Amino acid sequence: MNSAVEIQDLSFTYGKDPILQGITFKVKRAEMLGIIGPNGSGKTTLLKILAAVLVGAGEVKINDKDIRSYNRRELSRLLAVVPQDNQVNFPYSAAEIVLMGRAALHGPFSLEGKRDLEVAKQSMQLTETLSFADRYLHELSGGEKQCVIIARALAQEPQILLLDEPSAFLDLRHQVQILELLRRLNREQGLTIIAALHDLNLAALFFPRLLMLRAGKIYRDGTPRDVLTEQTIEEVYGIRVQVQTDLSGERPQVIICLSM
Amino acid sequence: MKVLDRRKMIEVNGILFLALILSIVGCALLGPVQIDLSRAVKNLFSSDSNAEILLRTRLPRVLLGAAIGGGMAACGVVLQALLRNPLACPQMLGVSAGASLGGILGLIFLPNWLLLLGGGLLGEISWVPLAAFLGALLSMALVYHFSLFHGRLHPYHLLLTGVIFNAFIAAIMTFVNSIVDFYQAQGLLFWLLGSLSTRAYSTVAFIWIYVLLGFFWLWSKGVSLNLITLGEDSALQLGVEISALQRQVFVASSLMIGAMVSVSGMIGFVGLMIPHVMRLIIGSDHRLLLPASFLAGGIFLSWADTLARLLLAPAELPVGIVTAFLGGPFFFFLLYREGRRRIAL
Amino acid sequence: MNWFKHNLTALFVVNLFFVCFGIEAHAGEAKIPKSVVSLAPSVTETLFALGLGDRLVGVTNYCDYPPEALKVPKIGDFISPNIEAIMAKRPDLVIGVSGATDLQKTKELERLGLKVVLVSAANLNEIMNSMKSIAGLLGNEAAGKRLVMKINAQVSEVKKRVEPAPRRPVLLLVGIRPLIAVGGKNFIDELITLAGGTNIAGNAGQPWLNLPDEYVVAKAPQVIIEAGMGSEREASSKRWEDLKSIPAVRQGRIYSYPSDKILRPGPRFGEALEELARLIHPECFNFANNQRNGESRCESPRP
Repeated sequence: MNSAVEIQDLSFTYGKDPILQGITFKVKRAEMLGIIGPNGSGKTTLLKILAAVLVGAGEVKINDKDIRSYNRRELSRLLAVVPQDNQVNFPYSAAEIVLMGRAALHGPFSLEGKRDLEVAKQSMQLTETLSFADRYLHELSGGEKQCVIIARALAQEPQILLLDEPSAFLDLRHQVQILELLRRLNREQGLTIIAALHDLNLAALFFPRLLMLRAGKIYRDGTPRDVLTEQTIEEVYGIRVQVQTDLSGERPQVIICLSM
Repeated sequence: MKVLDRRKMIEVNGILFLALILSIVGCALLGPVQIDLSRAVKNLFSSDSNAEILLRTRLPRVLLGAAIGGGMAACGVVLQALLRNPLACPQMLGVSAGASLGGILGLIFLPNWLLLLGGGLLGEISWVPLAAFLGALLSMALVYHFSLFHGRLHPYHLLLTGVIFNAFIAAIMTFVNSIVDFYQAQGLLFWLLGSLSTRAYSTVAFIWIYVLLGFFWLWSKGVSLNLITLGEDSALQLGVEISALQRQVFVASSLMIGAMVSVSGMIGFVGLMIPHVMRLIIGSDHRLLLPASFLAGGIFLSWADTLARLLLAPAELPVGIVTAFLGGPFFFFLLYREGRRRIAL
Repeated sequence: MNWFKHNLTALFVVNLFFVCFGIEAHAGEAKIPKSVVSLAPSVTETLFALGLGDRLVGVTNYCDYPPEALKVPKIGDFISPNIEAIMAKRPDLVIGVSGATDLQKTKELERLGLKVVLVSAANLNEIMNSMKSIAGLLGNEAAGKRLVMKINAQVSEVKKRVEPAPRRPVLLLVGIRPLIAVGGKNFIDELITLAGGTNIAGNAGQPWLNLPDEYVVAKAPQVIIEAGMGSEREASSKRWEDLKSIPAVRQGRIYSYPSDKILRPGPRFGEALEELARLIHPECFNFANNQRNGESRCESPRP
């Protein structure tokens, strides 16, 4: 009863193209997993299958139960997703967006209560978005929007948090801030975190375990040291790099070698 | 942190409800003909012309206008959510065009004896509105069928199918128009531009019950409608069964629109404009937007009908013309003033 | 001196043009048309009433009176006649009604070399003049005069009969759903007046209008005539049942009337007038009975 997520032999095809093949891995409770890989390697598809947005062939278990046995409301109380792009055509304020994360807990005709407002406030404080709670989402910058969406995911009070490129639109300070927040939530609240990342160095700094995908298959699964080597990176990404360690000596950092 | 709470719900809806009641009363007192109110009240149940004008010619149509205005506005709100497009309106689904076509064909081809049979028994619910409703159901089924994409109603497909369907039906109607005789063609205008002229309280009651049932059901989906506007992926992971919700909302609003058009012909602009105006004033939370738009729609159409009776007195304008003339410019004005600040498209 | 020469040349050219055109026009007018296409039921009826129905080679789909008209080949409906069908008949003359026939079609026919005449039906006077000019066009002015005299006699007779009676407010409907009433400035309104009635919608500026029910109640017509048209065949008296303040409803004076007779600005309007007057003032057409049964007499109440 220890695995938050268990995947056995998962595959997914879009039309005739195989996007994922033979994916098998387990994620323990309160684990932090980073999924890396080039564009088109299947990261987003994998996350969508975990979020039950797409359905693949193979076994997917959440909290030791088959994902198909959950109804959507139950699932949204367990698992929250921060998708990559969030285009909203209607004028909602940041606070309204965050509160929508509480929707699965209520029935029809209900309005938010005290607890909902508290949780929302807390989530916004954690993501430093409380100061623009009443501003419209479309008035915010890309980074601020992203933080609001993260706050919404946190407001769901989930056990598992899935993020698709959470640092994509953020500046360096916010990137680090969000990843530090994720680490804190993982340590203090035991939140299981699975994130797809494109920045290898940040992934190596914050995630104790990395899953490297290549062309829809798992290429490497292990600690950053195991996964990020000059060979694997050249194999998977097709560029030559030098791998050194960070200041603590424990985590690898990738330095790109430019041909002159 | 400003959020929707009980107080705001009661305040906004309370004010609008009061305004609706006042509008109904006000509109019943206005018209191209002057009436002596005291005599009307004294002779409420005898055959006094003042009382008859008030109770038998004006009040039924004002009440009908309130129901249809509310129903159209509510359908507009949910369709804009369903299509994730603030510029969607009930006409886009093709259902109202189908209803109009059904009505026109019924008017022309239903045999004598069939028409006479219904006319007396059910007040004004004769077979022509039923033919219109049938037209609505058929077009709803067709549009639904052609918009299904991987088991889900894709907004883009729904919109496109609705628009094409509308164009196709418009072509058929023009063809029918060219082959009917000159005087039948006048009746076609009713279907194309709408009219609230009704005198049977049975019709009014029927539409009110129908619209209220539909409205309350849609209102119960308020939270899900909020979520669905965030995008499919977001809505799914926040707990919404999108396919089921899309199906249900599409069917519910099509049924409502079909019934309304069967009785009053095509009245446009209410479903497009009212939700948008209300959204600019009270925000996009559908739990408040739906009831507020419903009430505001009723207010708007009652007054539009009153203008339709007054503007070219003694002749009566089709109410669809009034809604277009009122709706368009006012909408642009509001958009210009507030729009750039608040709408993201 | 140059501009003078210029203008003279221009004048000369223009003159030439008019001379040629004039010659052509003259050449056309000399012939009496032997084959005629009618673009309106009223025109068809007029031709038959003039005894010139045998010259018709084409009529519209709606030309159903007199019965002989049904045998004439059809050329389309009167708003949008079929150009090719008309051309195929090679008529010497095409007659339509201005305001009803599509002007573009008319121009097209003229461009194709046909002679088209549009007669007016704006009011009773013009209708009578139209009948005379049609007769003239077909070379039988005498027939025209006779027809007009006959109709005038019918009209005078009716006027005489209803003259002593008080005017009655009348509602003449041509549509039920929605209510479409005959308005002002058209010949049917004139008929109502001649028949001893007042059209309650007669002060409207347009010939047809959508009437709200409250207006009917307020104007309290004593006679309601429904000229049922097209597919408006619903049981109409039930519609008025509950509006008992209207005199026509209380007294049960709601009548159906065949629309063709009253809506066609043709030679039957004299007949239509009499039938209309009988509906509005039945007491003026029943002398013997009046005296016997003590019913209302055909007269205004004594002061």
